[in-house]
Amino acid sequence: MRTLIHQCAWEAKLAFRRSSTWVILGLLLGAGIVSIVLSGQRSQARTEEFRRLEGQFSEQIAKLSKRYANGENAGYWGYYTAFPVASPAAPLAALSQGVEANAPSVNWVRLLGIEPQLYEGGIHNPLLQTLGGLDPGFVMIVLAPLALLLMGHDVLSRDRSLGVHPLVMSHVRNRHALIWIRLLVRSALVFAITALIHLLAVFMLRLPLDLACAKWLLTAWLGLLPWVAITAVLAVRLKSPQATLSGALGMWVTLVWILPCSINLLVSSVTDAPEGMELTIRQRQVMHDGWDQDRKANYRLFLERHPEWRHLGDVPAEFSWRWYYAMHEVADQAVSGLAKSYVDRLQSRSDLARRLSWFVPTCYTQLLLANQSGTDLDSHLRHLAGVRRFHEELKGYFFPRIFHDRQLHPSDTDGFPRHRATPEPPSDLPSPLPLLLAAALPLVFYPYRKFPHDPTA
Amino acid sequence: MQVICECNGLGRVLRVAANEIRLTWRRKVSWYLLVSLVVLVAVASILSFGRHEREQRRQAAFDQLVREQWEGQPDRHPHRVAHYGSFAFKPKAALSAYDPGVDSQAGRIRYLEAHRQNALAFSEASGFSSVSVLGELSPAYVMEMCVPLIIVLLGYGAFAGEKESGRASLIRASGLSAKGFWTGKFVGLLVALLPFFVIGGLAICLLGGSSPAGLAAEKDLVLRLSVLLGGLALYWLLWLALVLAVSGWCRTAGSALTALMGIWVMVSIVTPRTASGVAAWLHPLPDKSEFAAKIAHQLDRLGDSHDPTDPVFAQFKDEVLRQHGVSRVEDLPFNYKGLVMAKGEEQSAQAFSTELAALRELEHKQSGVIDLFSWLSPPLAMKRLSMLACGTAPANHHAFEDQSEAYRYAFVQKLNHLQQEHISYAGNSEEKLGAEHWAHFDRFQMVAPRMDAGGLLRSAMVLGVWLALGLGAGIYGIAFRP
Amino acid sequence: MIQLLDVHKSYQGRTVLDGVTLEIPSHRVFGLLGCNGAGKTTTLNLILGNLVPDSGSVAVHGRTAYIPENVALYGELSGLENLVYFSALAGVMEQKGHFRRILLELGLASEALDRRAGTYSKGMRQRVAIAIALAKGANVLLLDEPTSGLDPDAVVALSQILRKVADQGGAVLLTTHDLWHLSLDCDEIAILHHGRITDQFPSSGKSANQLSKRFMEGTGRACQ
Repeated sequence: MRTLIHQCAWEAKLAFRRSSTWVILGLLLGAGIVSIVLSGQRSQARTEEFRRLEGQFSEQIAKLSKRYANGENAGYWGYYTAFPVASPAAPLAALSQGVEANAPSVNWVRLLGIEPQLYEGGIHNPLLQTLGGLDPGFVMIVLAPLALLLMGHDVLSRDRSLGVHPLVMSHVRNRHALIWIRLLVRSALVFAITALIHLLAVFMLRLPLDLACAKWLLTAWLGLLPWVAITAVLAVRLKSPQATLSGALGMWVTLVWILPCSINLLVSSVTDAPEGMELTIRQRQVMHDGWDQDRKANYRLFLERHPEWRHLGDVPAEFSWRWYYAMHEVADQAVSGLAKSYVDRLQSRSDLARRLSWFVPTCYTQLLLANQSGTDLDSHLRHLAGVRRFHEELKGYFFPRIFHDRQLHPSDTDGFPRHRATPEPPSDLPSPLPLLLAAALPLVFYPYRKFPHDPTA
Repeated sequence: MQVICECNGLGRVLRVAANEIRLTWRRKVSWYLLVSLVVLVAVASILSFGRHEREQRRQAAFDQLVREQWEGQPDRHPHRVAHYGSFAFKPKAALSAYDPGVDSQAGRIRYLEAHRQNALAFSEASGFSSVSVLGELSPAYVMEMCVPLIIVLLGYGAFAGEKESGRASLIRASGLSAKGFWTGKFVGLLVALLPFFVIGGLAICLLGGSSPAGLAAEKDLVLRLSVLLGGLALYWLLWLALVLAVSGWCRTAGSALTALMGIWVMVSIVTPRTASGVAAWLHPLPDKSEFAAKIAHQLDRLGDSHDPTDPVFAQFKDEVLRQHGVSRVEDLPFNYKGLVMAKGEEQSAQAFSTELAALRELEHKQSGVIDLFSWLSPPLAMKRLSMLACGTAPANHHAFEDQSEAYRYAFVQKLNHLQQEHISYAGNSEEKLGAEHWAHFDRFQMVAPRMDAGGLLRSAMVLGVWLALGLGAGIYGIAFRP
Repeated sequence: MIQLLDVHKSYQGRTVLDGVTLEIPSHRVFGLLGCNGAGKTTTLNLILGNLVPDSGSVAVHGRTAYIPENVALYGELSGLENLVYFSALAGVMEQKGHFRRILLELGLASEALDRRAGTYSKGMRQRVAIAIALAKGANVLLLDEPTSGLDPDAVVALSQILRKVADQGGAVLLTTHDLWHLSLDCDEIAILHHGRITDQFPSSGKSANQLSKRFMEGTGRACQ
């Protein structure tokens, strides 16, 4: 045991004597720090956005109160008031951007038909989105494996190029042990840097230091395990440093880029695209057809679904708020099947992608990290569901008042329904099994008996 | 005394070059890399082209559907038609199969209705199906990321290997000057790498030539292809010079390789993403709540055409009455409400334009930050050049936004004009316009903007400077760092 | 100590060793002479266990250590650190002073011990390699062309070291085609030619010229 520790210490010493070790670890740490700073900025901007919401709502109410100082039909209030629905960021959201780049977490909801309101995007610069962002998750999934490969690929091949290989092989007690000790010592250095990055993130981004936070780091480490196995196989099976490095880079490019993109393309060609646009077109068509139709006929459609309003009788022939909102509701219902299918398609795409990423550890790690950061597709779908629920709340408040032709005064605005963000329970963590399998699979190719390229000097 | 070589300086340089070619292609790695590149380029091109075609078709189908819905409208009040709205589709540039640029993030479909701008835009990215970590598998990405990696892998030992093995001093002793040695290696590696470059160039030409032009017969397709190929040539030469420079500086092949890998990762992957983060930090765009609030402020200032008690419009009414010498709006020779809608549209368009101009200004500043960072990252400069040449740059998206807005304004105002002419003031709530009018509205046709010469030049300058630095450092390194 | 009995070895279609019988007892420095390609390195690899003979047997009693022709060390470590490191690989943990003593005894200058091994001459590197062998308790040393590229005083120092190892009970086998120093170093010499031992004799008293004549006879006057 003591000799093992002794040897590990010497391997570490040997590693640190090489400038490449410092460069690789330094760059990894540097990239990590930059990613933390930029993520901090992003999450701060989002917090600012949330903070302003209340003020913006009050301002809007104040304006409307001035306009309708003497009271006005509830229909007008319903038409002009927009209510903010905001899903606050999960505690670890800063660590991995996930779908947040494209999915807004704030929706301003009005009483009108909900469907066209759901698909408004945020304001982004498409150039910046195309370039992508740098967050700690990216560093763990893309850069840390590269660092691991660069540090570990030459555990044997460097000795060969230096000429010291025959001497080493003739003196070492256990060749396999030597390779693994070297690899694991160097891997431990990379793991240590990732831990340092995580700690810095917790400190600089003021993340809660709890079990979830530790699990995030453990997940990232789990994602690195397959890379350790891959490095071991490459280092032993290939001979020269050029070969091991080429092999390492090939694996990296394949696993980090080619395979994930292939999954993407496979998913989009096999499943149907979620057509937000189709929904909008349909809803628009139904609604405008509703304008054309006989108002009474249209209202009857509404009453079919909402018999609780039968007691009010029919709508007048001319414009009435009751008819107007009923028509919006009818239009929503007409496309509710499509709306459900939209969500279903999104979900099925996500599920297919998840199943396919069982084969690509990089993708799976990304999914796990996004899940733990609360920035995966499920979080977005929960937000959309929350928006829908609040819209129901709005209808519950306004419809009685509108249908009874009530007047609302500025003093009534205090009673307007407001969205209360409920802290979401964390969704089930997907099983880490695929990553363990991915770590074991390369070892099938590890030469257990014969040591390749035995020195025949 | 045996004379080793009777050749003159040029001959010796050519010998070095020939030797380099031979050495490179004797290595098994070179063949693996060649096959890998062919496969990668083929797969990326085929898939990208397939997707390009699929989306073209889908977009055309939607376009047709929307047009049919528009023309199929029954008799309707023009203002309602203005709210029914229409859609504008951005056609795909011919070369977007090669470099999709910002297309997958920027909306290609815009919903156009009265009183609203920039409200709804659909892009592929909003499909959320992406599990990709590093970006799309586009041929452009292969050319910009993988080919330099191949250049690194094949060229890192050009000088460092000679130094390490001791051959460098032999070569120096033969009388060959440092510059000659460097030129020989450069030419040799360039020729040795030609198969890779040719594959890339061929793929681009095939993609450009075979894509049925989405933007009706892009006349400058040949020009765009030339610019793209020229830029890529510059870019790859730059990488070759850089690899040789680092190889010349380092004493061992191993350290050269590590240094080059570090450089590749930093400039290809880390810097562009850092640039994007810093740009968002320095010039943050307003979030949509803030933006909507600003629009609301503007509209308050300019008056609300839907509000009969609005003071601005009261004043307007008096002016119009005075202009036509009548005392009541009912007596005007046209539908006053139509005029109010037209005026209101003018106002809201103005409000939006002001705010959108401010937004555009911020985006422009963000682009400026990216431009600055591109001095640190040739791949970033090359990306901009490539997007500009392929017609998928932000500028093209802005052109789409501007043209679709002009189209929107035109058709909404036409509808408002129709309301003035054909709908009477008295019957404004109930009268409808005949359905035969809808066919007289033109479809949205986008005119592709020309390539932005300024942007191209800026990118080319970055590439040129890096190339010069690489060449200089290379020769200096050989001469002074044995 | 080392016994090869009718060893045959061929690879890639070529017969490298064609019935080699050799016995190297302890307390001996044994020289294996032969042209390039005669099978000297293959013999060493068979003794080390890197190769397995096609037929015949190889028996080694004692701990072996191999010193290659070109000893490369980790340039970024000092000579002393290299010794400690390689000993750690072999599972030997000692005080640093112990290792220092071994190196000094082998003739390395005290100030050179802490210098980076990248600056060492070939002779110094060779001595470190021998130190590594001795530190792990090897008593069978196998050296491949040890004198090539050494300066004269290093050659003398080497032969003294080898003599000491043999005197202390070890066996030393060195392969070479350097006739000049053979008689100084070795107790017994064997000539390997085309995979066979063609001549074997004690070297005492033979001058270099006599050895040369013997070598020519043993190899049929020509090295191909």
